[in-house]
Amino acid sequence: MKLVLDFVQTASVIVVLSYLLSRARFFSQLCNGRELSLPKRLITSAVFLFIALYGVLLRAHFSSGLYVDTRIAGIVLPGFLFGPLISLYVLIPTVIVSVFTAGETFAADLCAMLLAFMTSFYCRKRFPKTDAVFSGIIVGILEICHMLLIVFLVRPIEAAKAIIYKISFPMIVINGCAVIAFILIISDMNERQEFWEKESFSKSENAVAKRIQRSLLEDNFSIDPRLDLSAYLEAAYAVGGDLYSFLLDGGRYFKFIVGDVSGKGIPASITMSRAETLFQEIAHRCSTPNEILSSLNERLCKNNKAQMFVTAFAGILDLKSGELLYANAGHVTPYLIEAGQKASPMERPRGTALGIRKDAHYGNAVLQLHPGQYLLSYTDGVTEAENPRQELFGSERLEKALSYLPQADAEKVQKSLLGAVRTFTEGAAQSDDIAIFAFGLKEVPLRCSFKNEIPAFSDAVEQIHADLTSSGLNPATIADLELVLEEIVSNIIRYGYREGSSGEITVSVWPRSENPVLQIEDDSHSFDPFEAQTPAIKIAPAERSPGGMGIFLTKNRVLSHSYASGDINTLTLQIRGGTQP
Amino acid sequence: MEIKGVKANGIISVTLKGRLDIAGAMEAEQCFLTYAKSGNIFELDFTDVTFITSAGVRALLTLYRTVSEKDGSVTILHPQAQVLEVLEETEFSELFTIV
Repeated sequence: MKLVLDFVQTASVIVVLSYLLSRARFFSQLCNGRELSLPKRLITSAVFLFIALYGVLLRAHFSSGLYVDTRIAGIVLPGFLFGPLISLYVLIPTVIVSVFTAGETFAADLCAMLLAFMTSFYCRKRFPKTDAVFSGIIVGILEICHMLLIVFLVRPIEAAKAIIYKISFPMIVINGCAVIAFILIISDMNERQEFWEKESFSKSENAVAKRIQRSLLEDNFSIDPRLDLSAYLEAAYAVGGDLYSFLLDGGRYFKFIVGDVSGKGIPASITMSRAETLFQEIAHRCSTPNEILSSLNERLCKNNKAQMFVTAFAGILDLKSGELLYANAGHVTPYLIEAGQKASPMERPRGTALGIRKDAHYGNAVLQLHPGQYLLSYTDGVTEAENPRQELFGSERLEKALSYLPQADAEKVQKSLLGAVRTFTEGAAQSDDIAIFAFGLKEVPLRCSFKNEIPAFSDAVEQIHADLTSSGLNPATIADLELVLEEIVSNIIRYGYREGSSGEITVSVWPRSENPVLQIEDDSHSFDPFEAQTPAIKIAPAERSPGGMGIFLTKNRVLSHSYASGDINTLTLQIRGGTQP
Repeated sequence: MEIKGVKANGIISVTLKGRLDIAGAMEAEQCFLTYAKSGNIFELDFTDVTFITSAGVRALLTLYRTVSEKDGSVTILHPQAQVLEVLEETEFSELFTIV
């Protein structure tokens, strides 16, 4: 009975030690064969040395009067687990201690310890993966050898018999069990460690995948000064199936696509990458959005055994005229947004999602996009965003978020919608990928500079006239604007500049449908044509001096004007527009 | 600006085409003064005059003053909306017969 208690005590010590050791961070590094610093190696060795010498040193304290010899286990364990070096660190002090505590079994013990060291060394080379039961059996065999050595080396034979009778069974069992227990505990810890390492690896793998997918997305939104563009994309998981892509063709045509691949996560992201790349490849060759969709559809139908499909909205905006052509492949309705106006859903041409039918047909719709109007396309992750009560965001909330905005630009439109979705979901986990894509035309002035001479001005007028005509402005307004322009500029050339002095005049026009703005900058001496007197219209026309008539016509066509003089004089006029009284 | 003048039955018919702006008006004024040497009854076909400014009006005024000294007259045929508007606005329409 006392012997059993001693066993349990020893076993407990080994279990506690193995547990503590397996918690140490450097332990798993050591198990994986990594080189450790000397102090850490010494700490590890000390632990095994303690196991080895536990019985020897505490011999007196065992109530059974027998010492529980765990030297073999202490030497074999590090040998199995970490290789010969740590084992050697344990072996040497153990041998030294054994010399001092030597009894009649010293020679046998020494041989057994050397045998244990060499066996562990051999086993580690031969069977690198440490198996608990296998190691336990090896230790058991080593202990049997130990006993046989005692039989051979201890004299008289009766003494050997007595020793063997007393200790053989506990020695074999306790060493075997200690090794099994130890290895089981640490290999369990090791597996857990490996699991976490794998997990963090897959996390970093996701991060890389996310980075790669992000890098596929166009991120330069300033591709043309006339275009105001903003886009947002966030996958529910690391990667997703929503996409947008765009490019500027021929310095004039903004070609874009917004799409949503069926499903989400990695399967969707593969098709997304394909669609994204295909768009960039084919868009240059397509002059209408339905061509873009047909061409994408044809390619996505090929090798699509997984039956992944893509809903998409594609368009081509002529940045010069503001004419927008668009086509749709089963994608959600886009909206037209304007400051102070209700968001209006756009007419949506019919079309099947891409990747389903090879012979699908797509139609184009056309829209004149004016500066200040913004087109918004999104994916259903927006309308299907859920709050914690499982309610959906829905198109009504979308329309509300985008109606009567006090001011609008592409970024404001995009952020207003995203903000509304975020507020609605109250931080609930995003259930689907979200993409928001908004763009409009900036109010970029038509600009033209010329020398302060009438022929140069006439050439400039030709250019301005062509630009104004293609801007889609009403012809009567264009005529008013050009009349004002000529009256002012001819006055500046005639009266602003000193005889023979050369200078430069710059004309800018913001061709808005309502009250276009005309700005004239010149480097003459300060001269405000508006200060000139209105002709006395009472004088009979035949007798009237023709001077001042130009300024009279100008004033009738201008809503407001401002003048700033300096190195450059700037006259800014707002044209009344439409027909005159 | 394209300007063509023909004299028939004592009437000088001038067909103008283009913009009667500051550049067009200079050309027109030159032509008017040349044609005025051979007569003082003018019929100006404005069907294809798309645009006029005060410079164009001044060219017409110069022609008017030249021919009215010799009891002549200036008739403007088929002016477009913008031209008519400017002529009426400046009240120069009173000086011409507008058809």
